[in-house]
Amino acid sequence: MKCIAYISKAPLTKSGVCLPIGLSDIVKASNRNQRSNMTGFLCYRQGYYFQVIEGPHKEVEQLVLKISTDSRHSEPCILIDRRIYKRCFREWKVSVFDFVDQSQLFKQFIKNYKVDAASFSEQQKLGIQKFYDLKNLSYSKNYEGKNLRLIAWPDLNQISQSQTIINLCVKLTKKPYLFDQLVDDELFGTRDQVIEALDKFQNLGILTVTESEIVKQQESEIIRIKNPSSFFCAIKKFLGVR
Amino acid sequence: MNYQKLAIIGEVGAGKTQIVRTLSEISPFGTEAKSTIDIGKKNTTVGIDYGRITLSDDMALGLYGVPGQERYSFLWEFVNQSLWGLLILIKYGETPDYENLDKMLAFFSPEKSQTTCIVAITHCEDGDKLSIAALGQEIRAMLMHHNVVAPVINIDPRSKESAKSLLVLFNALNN
Repeated sequence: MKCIAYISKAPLTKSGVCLPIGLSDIVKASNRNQRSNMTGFLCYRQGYYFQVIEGPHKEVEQLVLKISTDSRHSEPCILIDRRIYKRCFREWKVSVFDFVDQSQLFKQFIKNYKVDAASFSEQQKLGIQKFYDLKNLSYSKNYEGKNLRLIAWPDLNQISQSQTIINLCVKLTKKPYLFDQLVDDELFGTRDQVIEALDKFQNLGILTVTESEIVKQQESEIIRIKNPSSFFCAIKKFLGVR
Repeated sequence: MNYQKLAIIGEVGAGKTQIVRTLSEISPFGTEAKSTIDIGKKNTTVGIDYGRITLSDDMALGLYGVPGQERYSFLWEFVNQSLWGLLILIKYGETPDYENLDKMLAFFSPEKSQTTCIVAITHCEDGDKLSIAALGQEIRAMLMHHNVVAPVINIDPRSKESAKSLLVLFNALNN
């Protein structure tokens, strides 16, 4: 058996935007690994791919050859390329979310390949750091009296496309909002449901939690500007929304 | 008269005509022509799909389905006034033309103009969940490049409920 681990760069568009173009197709293709006795994972984060492939020697070699000529990525930096006697992943997984990385997979990777990791060059270490920096983040799960704001919309496929979650995102992407008020509003489910949603946002790295002093001031501003327009009310009426 | 516009923009086959049809109270004015290349359907829109939702005697929402290709950017100019919202439709199953999406976002610049923007992925009813999420990630990377904080959701333009849920979201974001 063999293991290959590498980091590569997502391509730039003509206008210079670094985009994971074709990621959706890559995911579809990499799902074939599940059927072909390959284990490991593919991860995308902020313009870089990280892939670990374990499997029968010949099949891994063939796959790597194919990957190396794929124009949807460039500048591959090989981290591991060696024979293994035992797999460290039981299945094939894909993590494609910019804000998340499946840190559990990384812990598993680092733990099982610690000998290899110990001898990484500076360049290799820099490469893997792009994916592994979430280990430094410590989240506060205590939202009481805190000001909350979403800095981006979550992937609703991963969270839920329910109206309650969408409403919560609408609220939190506009302005900072006090946790206690979110709960008092009773528009976003029970207190536990709100906390569950916020925890998910935290894990995605898109929720900012700040102290509430400034919040209260901002909060009053929010209330002041919140006079629904007649157009808003007319659309609501048309849609039959309360 | 309080008249506002919802611009619906997307590539060929993304579902612009369909969503205008689903939401409009009037028979949509379309400019469909026979497609000269195989795009998986007989006709394609070569101009604007127009529909309308009357909200009251003096209030209405105009629905403008506009081609996403840059060569139709004169139509972008046409709809880019009094915009209530900008809906970008992306068809699942085909890699989007990101160069074009880049130009489109630069043109409408929803962040600068403070236009509410939503990106909706269509044709994803039978899609693989992870692959749809990956497409969402591609789109989000482009949105982030343009500093656009916009939801990326899945919709079915044929479904009244799904199309209306978009209006609910636009309205909530606009309030």
